[in-house]
Amino acid sequence: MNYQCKNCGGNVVFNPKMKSMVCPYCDSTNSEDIKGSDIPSWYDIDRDALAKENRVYSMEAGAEDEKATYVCASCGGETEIGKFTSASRCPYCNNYLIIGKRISDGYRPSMILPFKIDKDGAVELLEKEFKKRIFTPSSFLTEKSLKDMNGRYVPFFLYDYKVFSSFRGVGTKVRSWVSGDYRYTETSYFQLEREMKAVYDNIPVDASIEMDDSVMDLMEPFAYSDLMSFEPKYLSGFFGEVYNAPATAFQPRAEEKVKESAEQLLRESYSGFTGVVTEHKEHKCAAGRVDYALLPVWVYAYNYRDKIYNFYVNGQTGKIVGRTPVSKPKLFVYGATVGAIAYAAFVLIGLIAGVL
Amino acid sequence: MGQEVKKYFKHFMIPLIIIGVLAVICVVVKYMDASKSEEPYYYDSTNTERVYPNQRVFDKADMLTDAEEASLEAYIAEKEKVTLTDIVIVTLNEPLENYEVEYRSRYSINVTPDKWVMVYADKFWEDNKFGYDQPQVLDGSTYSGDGVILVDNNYREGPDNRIYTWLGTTGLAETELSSSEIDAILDAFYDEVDYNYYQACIDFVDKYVRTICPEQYKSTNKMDLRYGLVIAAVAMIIYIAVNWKTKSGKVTVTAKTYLISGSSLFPVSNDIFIRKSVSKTRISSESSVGGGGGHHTSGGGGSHGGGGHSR
Repeated sequence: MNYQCKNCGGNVVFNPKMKSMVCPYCDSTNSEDIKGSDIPSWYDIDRDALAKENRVYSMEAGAEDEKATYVCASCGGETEIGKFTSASRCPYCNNYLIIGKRISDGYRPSMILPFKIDKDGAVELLEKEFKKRIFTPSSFLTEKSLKDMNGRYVPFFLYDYKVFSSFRGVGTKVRSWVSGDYRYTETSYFQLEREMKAVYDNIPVDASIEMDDSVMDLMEPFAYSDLMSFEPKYLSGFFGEVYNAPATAFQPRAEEKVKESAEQLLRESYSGFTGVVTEHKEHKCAAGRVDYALLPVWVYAYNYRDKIYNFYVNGQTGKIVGRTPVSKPKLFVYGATVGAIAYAAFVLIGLIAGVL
Repeated sequence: MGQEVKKYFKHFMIPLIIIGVLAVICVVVKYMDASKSEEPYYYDSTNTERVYPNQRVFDKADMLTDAEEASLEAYIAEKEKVTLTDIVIVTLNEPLENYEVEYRSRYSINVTPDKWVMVYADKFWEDNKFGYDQPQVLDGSTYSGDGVILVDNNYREGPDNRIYTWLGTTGLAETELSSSEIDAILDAFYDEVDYNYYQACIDFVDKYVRTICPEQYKSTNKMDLRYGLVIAAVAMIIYIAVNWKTKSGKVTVTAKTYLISGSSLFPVSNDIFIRKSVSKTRISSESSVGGGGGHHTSGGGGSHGGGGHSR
């Protein structure tokens, strides 16, 4: 299906700046009509109840329709769609398609974080970042060409967790003082016992195989206050995926994140000790509710001197992840300066201390 | 281009400011040093009464070649100006059992066979009017006759049939050198004495200079500028290695990002004291306990310090 303008018949898309549906052809706002609806008729009924329901997201995405084709509601062209695609673009008429089947039933996201930064905003942020990074070659700023760019709703599972941590160990505190000709060092030993309870909300794990985990981790955090209950219209104008595997498949990564955090909180609780020897440590994690949410990421690919550079911009916060090329001449000039400064510091400190 | 230069200076602003501050401190320190060092730290010997004005090495046992003697004399002459003391070396090969019995009998201490070399050293010093400042005033005081004398008697005698060596200290050297320091200087002499007599003498002079004026020694022991080059090279390599590839992005989540605020509770949190242990270590004081070792009044009435070794 797609959204068509009542006034001019153009493809209406979601405009992040206006926070509403805008027709890019006639500038009408909220003039959209669903064309070729393939979502169930109950879709809008009791949305709130649906959001409260505790769902398990166990469907094996794409299993039933590998190599699916989809017929564009605007032009009737038949296009091949990826295994996980939920929103795409018709190659014939360039209209944005939303694949109803992939946002209904088990695939229906409970929440979506609509794009806040639009295409131009993302480019602006990128250009600023490129200039800020000192070793970016000046030619990169002028010569690079945009190869590909799209706004993507990346499927995320948001896990709630409770963690129970227990810890036993021996901590030492060292105190030292001077009396007469002697230095006294007092080491005190403590038996440490900790039990900790912590509750976590919405730990995000990307459920997309295509998106690199480390990149998606760096996209965090998203401000959840902007999460909305899902509506298909937010997808118009963007690309989207369904979760690539059931929620349980991504749970280990969430648990890892929980344990990492719990570990740190625990360590903070005995940070006053000089040294700690662990005798026993355990983190028990209990998974709670899981939500399926779509979070916005701008994906940019630049071509520069026969190499492709990928950049990711958090569609909400504007955080940028990606490697810029490094100008080696610049790097060597800076490195030489660091060396010269180190040498100057050595000589000056030596002269002041009287050893040179 | 101008923008690149601007960026460059902005990037290195803080280190450059630090270097600038260090440079200013350095200039100030050097200026203060320069104005301080105008004071006469050193003076030429004012003693004109020495019996042997230009001789300090008396190689009566013929342990050194003429060339070695000459070079040792030159070395001592140089070090005397630094230490402001006379440095005399006497080698003997003669029995001292019956040496100056009358002089020996006037000693303030009991003269045992190991101290026969001491009697020789004291008398040699007094008779030949050594002392950097002036010949020793023989009134039992320690303010005059600054210097040291090393007497090594290669004639084996005494109940143990040993070779005895004495390091006598007078004036400034007597007040400055402690027994343990005298021992250490004699040790330095003994290290090489059986293998290379000349080197042993040089080692003795060196150790003595190092002991009596460590600050002089320090200033000659300068740090190698090549270390600076190594540090600079390492800093440069690390900097280039770290920046060889750009980081793809900073981590912006913390342990508490997804924690429901205030949800982290510690139902059990006990720090139970078990025991404590206290250890003590002696603080090694750098400054030696001065005050001289082996003080005695000689048969001539002069105050001397010193210590002996035998082999």
